[in-house]
Amino acid sequence: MASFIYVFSYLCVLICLFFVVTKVISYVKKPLHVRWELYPVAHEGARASYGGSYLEDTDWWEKKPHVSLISELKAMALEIFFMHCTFEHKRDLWYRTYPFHIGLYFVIVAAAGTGLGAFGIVFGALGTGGFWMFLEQVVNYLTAIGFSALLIGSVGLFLRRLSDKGLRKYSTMEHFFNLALFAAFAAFGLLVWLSTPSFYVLGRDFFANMLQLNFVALDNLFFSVYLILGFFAVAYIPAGFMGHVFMKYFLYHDIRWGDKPSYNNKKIQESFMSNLGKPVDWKADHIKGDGKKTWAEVATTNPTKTDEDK
Amino acid sequence: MAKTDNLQLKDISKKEGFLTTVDNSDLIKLPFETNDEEWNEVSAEYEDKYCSLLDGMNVLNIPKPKTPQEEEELVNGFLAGMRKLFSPDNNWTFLAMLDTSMDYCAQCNSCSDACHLYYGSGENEMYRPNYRSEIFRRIYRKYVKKEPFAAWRYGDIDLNWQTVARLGELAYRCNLCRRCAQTCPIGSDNALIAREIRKLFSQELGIYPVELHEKGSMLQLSKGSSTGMTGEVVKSNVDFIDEDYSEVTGYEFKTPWDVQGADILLLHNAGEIMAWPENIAAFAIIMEAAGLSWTMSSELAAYDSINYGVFYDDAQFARTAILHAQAAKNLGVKKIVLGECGHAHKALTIIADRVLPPELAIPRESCFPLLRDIVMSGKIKFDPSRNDFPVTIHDPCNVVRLMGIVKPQREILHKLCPQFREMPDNGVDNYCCGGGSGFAIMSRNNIEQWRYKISGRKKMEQISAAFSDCMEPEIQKYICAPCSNCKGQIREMLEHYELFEKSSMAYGGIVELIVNAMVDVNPGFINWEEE
Repeated sequence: MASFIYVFSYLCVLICLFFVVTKVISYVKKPLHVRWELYPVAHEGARASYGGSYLEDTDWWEKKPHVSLISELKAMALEIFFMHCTFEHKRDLWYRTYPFHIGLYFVIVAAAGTGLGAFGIVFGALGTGGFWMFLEQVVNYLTAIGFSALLIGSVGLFLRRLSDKGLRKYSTMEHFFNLALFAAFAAFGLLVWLSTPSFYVLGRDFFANMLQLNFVALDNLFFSVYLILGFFAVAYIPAGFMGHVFMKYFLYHDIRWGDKPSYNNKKIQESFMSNLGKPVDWKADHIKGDGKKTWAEVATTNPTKTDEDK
Repeated sequence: MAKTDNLQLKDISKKEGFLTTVDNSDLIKLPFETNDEEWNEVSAEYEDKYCSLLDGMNVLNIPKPKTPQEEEELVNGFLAGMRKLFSPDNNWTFLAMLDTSMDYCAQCNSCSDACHLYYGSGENEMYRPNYRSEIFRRIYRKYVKKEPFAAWRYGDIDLNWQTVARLGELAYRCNLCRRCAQTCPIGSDNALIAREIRKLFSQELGIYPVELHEKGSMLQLSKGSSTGMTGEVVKSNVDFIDEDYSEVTGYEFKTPWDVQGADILLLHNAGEIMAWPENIAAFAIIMEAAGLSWTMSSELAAYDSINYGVFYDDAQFARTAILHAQAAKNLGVKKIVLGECGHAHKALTIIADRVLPPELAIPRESCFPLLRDIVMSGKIKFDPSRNDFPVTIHDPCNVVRLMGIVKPQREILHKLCPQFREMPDNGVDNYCCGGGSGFAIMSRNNIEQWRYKISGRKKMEQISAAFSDCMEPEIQKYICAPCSNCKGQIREMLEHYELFEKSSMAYGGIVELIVNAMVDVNPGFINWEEE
């Protein structure tokens, strides 16, 4: 049993990495798409406050592109840490999804703190006072708050999906399974927290053993179940729609805020020019794609003109 | 409880009957008498010939399969098209957006609250932006991707010819305004999915609305304009406008045609020439008064900025954009300026940006910043008291939410219209006029009624709110709708609800307000009687 949990943990981390890498590569390898931005675009700086763009200037192509990193980071921080979009547009959902997400963030940060402690053990740097005591306190508080918020949020979201008639018919088994998984994970996390003097010490020692391939048996049943649920979630999250946790970067930066013009941009020009050489297979009469004809040929053919007209 | 609470996703596959209907009692109430009529019955002849399975409105005219073989062909054609939508070769244009919108939607339904159709229909389930998308996703996962346990994980859906016919028609229960996408916390885009379904039907099955294809993009590619005007005809019509409005305004002007080496090629929606000649005249007066070097082109398609491909077909889109750019190149102009047409703005400035080869990449810009610069420059003298009546602005989605051109129009209105006021939810948060994505030019098979009863309802609510302090007919009011499509929709709403007569509401573009305030022009450019 002891080695099972360790092997399972390694496996889940690898599966998680596999899905993340595969999905990111799959996205970045897609051909350059046409522009499809949606305003406000965060990096517009002051203009972002009302949804304006560089296209509000005459002769915009002669002006230096204005990209405000601060404005973009501010928008990202608001979205990541405050869930601004949901707050603005779906307040009743925000009351449930915010504790869910903020709870997850707390648990992840706590896990990172625990991992830091584990590295302290592995590299023999672990002390008993000062920073390490502070870290233990922080991790223990974060886990308590994180698990509580996650439990409240996931149960709240689960009940909302059950009770809201509009939402009920769009909720699949996967939605309920996901929320139940998080609720169970958070519940077991809380049980561990309540039943041990220091959650941090328990987690830290497990991580240290993981890092050192030291398969020490676990004597806390709650903690074992908690680990299995947690590592399963790690592997499972990137596989489905919850992969938005990292794919949202592309949805925002590449699509919604993807306003970079091709004018005087050789890289973009080369990229879409290669797209124009792609073969077309659409069958409608005004296209008559045969898998050989290219987009450039289709775009430069006038379907209303006969050979004689040309 | 909404009447359509019982409507399920799987109902899309039912063998017979409408999926749903919207009763007059479901419609939102407006602060004036609406006297909504009942929907017209679909004729037996129509039902015999075409699929009419959604709600009694028929945009697509999908031929009704007569044999099991034809039924199978429709389904197989649909699936073949769906595969192509997810192929990097066949759909490099939108694959990234489509794929992510398919995979990462959390089904939170935030999009429903943002949609003017869902609202306007009294929250009819079919109008949830996600209703159509979720059906499309389930079909894709089960029948194309063939994911293990797809039916269990995502919910089952039956794919038959009725599903295909209803889904195609359902892609035209959306104005593609993308307000839903704006409120999506993840960035999933249900409007894009609607557009991609339209594209599948057009590019694979050869099924499209006649107004967008035969009478739209095809006519533009053959004659030069969806109005049917050739280059010679359009020149003659504009000459007439020049003469007429020179006399009316007391300001002599002449539209320059095909001027080699001019700075600006002005691209109008040719519908303006037919329906709103004052807009064409106003542009010419402003350009001349500002002393700009400009021209119009009589080359094929270059005197009509419309590009209906943006609503339903990538090939038609690219062909039209190339003709526009080619005309500009032939004239050797420095830039193309787009007149008051929202979808033409987005089509040529934004989407064509990654379609036009570098040799055709003549810079394109909106007319609004140019007009703002002219108005603010001091080159033209204005008397804002000529515009001293309540004015509000409708923001065309394509210009504002999809291009971020928000302030220039407002700077002009603040300077020239003393009683300018915003409507609720303005700027990038605006609502569609209800005629977006081609609907403003459609008026058959209950489409016209749909525009009054459902799609334009929210806009009329907003306009009424903007003028809530002056609804009485004694006060003339002006709805500035600087987009041909939006003007067409608003015109019909005002006519239908008799708001010209009952509330003295007029509509028009922004250039009309500019010229109306010009000191060098006879007073009264805005003709309230004709409005």
